[in-house]
Amino acid sequence: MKSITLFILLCLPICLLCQPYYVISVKGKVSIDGVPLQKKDKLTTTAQIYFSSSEAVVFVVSPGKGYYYLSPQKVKKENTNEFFLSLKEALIPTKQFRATSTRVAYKEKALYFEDLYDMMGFFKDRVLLFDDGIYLLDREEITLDSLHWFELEYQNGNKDYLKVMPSKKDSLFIPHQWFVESGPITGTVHATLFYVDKQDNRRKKIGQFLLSVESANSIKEELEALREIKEITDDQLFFNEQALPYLQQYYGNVDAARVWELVNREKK
Amino acid sequence: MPWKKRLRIFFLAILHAVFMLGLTFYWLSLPYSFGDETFLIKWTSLVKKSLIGIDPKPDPERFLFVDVSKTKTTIDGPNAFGEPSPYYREVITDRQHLAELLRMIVDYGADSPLVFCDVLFADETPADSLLQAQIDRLGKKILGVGHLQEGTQLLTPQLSMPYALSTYQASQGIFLKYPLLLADSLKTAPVVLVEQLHQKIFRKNGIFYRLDGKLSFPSPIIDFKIRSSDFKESNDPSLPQFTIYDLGFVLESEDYMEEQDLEAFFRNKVIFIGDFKEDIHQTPFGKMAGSLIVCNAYLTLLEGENIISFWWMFFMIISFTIISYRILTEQKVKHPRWLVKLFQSKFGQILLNALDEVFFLTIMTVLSYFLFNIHINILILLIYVKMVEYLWKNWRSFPIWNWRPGNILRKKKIKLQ
Repeated sequence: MKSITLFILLCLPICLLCQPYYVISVKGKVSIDGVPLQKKDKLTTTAQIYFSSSEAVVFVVSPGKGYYYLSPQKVKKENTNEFFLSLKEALIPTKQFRATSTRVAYKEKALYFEDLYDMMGFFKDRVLLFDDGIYLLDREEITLDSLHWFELEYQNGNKDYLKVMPSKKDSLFIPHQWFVESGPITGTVHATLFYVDKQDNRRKKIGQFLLSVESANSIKEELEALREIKEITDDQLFFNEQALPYLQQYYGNVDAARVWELVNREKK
Repeated sequence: MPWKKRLRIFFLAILHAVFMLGLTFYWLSLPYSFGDETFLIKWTSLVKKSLIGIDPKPDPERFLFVDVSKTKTTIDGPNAFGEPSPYYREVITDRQHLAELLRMIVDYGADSPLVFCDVLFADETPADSLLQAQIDRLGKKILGVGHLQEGTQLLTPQLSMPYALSTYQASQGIFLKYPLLLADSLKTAPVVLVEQLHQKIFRKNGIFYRLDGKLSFPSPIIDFKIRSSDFKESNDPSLPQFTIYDLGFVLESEDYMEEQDLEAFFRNKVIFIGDFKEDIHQTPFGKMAGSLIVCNAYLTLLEGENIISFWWMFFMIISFTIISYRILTEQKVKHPRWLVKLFQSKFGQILLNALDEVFFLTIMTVLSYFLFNIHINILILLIYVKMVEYLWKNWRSFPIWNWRPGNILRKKKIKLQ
């Protein structure tokens, strides 16, 4: 493997002395002094960056100056002359496909969190869990490995429980089995979700909420009863106008995709 | 033509040029633009900035752009009875996260001159007290926004904070001009930014607007100095870049960045907080975020491109005098035969006759833009000029003391005979 060395002369030009650079992402194998470069690493003024291949790239940010990418490869300059781009757009306009309808519900996709702030927006106030909770995460933004995980702390009766949430690929789970094992839960329990970062020795509170744990069957029965009262046969209509608002009002934040699975009669 | 008559026509041409200048002022002072202008403004600007390369940029390190598009939450919206209802959800910017950002600015951005928060706090939310506390800490260093709906209804922020209007009028949905004043007395955001950051004084005396004592257009056409294409990643760390940071990124950076690096985020920067994904407007340069439009409007005022200079007026008077003189002496460019053959219909002949003025007015607006950065409305000027030409041709030979309807009809009858 050809080693390509790139020296960043941070110590020479005076203006660069004042500018720190933090690593956002690394593509390929890149190291400093033999240590592989990680996200959030700070590049020092005497950094010697080693790129293992010409395709390796480091994407960095300087808080005062902006985003940059460092690569041993000469990057092809794209033609960004606005006049010619506008002329091209005027003569050969780009075609776009536009929908004449709006998406009103998440039908197929499970709950997806892009970052911790997304999770904070969901795991707060009140949350409903029926059967296993399955949550998709953007692994680029939320690290999950042996040094990073989520913990759920909750109280049932007089006892406190602390469980590590299992994860697989892009998914995070809250197993319904936990609450069966710890004793039947009636009503709601106080719960707190934490994000543990062992690397930086931090435990970040994501949210404190009232957790309602129900079985899928009981929620399904409740929704069927509601449907009979409202006399709505259309699944989508019932889902948008009755089922989801009803659960959100009486139980709190809920995974809409799982609610759709209960409501959708067509697939049965 | 005897020299006395020529002199009379020359003075008449100057008088008419002054009148045309007055009309131009009026049209340029309108808060909206005419449809034809967009095409001309776009392409003259592209030629100047992109082809010729006259495109001075402000220093990217003077600004910090923070995007709140990914930091949203929902609140109960009003139902049919006007009552808040959980079945009606409204999406708003998360004020708790915004409060955290302002707290960071207070803690690490002591020398930030101003925070412009282009988020309209039109509703009450549970997190308002948190946000208000941080706004109070910033005091006069923060500027919020209000909105003038349909030109009459003023929407002000629910929180107690200094604010200015971030409203403009658009024709055909395209932004071109930012009015400096709305509803006669309400200053818009770019004006307040210039006043607060550079201690310039904006005043309106009757129909005249003055910025720092100099005569200004009431609704200048904005020069887009920072455009969407300027935001990109670079592979040259020595050059500062225009960058939009997600609000979440700035907040999370406190977890791993050192204090002096966090200070670098805000040091000496004017901070623009807005939604750079959803608050999008159509401009001659394509789609652009509202906050960026305000920034460009502020830069236009800062560079004095709204000022009516003596040399621009002199240039306009000379140009209008030439056009007026040509009308009054009925000078025409001789068109080539092939062109005359092409435009044989009556409508075609009208078009052909208009070509001279189109040519002159186009040259005028191009020069006006290249030399003074001021676009002028050529379509409406063209219509006016053709009207004057028609009236001059048909009415000038008729002595004014004989202008009675009966006499006019008699003259037409004689002509037909």
